[in-house]
Amino acid sequence: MTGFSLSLGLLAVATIAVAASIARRPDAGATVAGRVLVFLALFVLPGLVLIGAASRHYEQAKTTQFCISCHAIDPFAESLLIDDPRFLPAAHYQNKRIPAERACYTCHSDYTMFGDFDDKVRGVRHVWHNFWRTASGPVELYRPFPNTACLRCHDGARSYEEEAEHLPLLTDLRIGKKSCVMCHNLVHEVEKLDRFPRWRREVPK
Amino acid sequence: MKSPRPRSLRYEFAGRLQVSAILVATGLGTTLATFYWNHPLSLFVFLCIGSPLTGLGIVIYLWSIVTQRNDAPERSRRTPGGHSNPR
Repeated sequence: MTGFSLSLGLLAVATIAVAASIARRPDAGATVAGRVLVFLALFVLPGLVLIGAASRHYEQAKTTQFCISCHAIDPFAESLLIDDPRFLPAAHYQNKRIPAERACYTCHSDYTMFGDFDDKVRGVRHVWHNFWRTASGPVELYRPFPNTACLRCHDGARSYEEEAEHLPLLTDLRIGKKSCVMCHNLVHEVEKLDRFPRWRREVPK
Repeated sequence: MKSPRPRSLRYEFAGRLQVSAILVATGLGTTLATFYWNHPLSLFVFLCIGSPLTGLGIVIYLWSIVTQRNDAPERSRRTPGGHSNPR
């Protein structure tokens, strides 16, 4: 638990306590000091807690733990542990090419001006459909995987730009005319998971 | 035809304040419960229950102070001498 969460929790508890006492004795607003207290407890503090809570939920929704806590995502989480370097998500996750605690968000975020907001709206849609069991059969992307997600890290990297197979495609990849997953096509492969061994991390003693 | 008996302005304000405080406390309680639950449903509970309840409580409070100000001239007319009644 971070200091921010703890402070936010304490602020919320204090606000609830004051609001509850106002609910019990609403005539507290009769004096000037009482009015100030009521203004703080029913406007300023709840507003601050709501802003803080929105920020906390926003950050929390980026974590891998958050995404994989939804059962529909279980096979995708399992695919991160495939013991085969040809598998793109597994290789990225196991070699820390992406932050492990934000694995899903790092690759499935839209790196545009309102991308973060768009991701959250999409996430709420996922939850809605999953909750009401209206989700379509196998989980699929709404649109083809964008190259921007890969190029955010790889663009400008020597290992990417000097690779002989990339050289003739650099411009097409940058403008999205060709897709990275056209060649790097072993991705989550959730329907074939049972065919591949899993990586079990050995924790040094 | 008899006009309806006017409710005490002070009583009405206190009532709104009470409703607002209950909504704020309930909304913040729900929000607090979602702080420590890292699950998509916690975001949903925050968006659909916690924040609307708290927001509604804040709006009712603001509404009550705005309408109380509008009622002030009416109150001073009722007081003998036209002076406003200190609360």
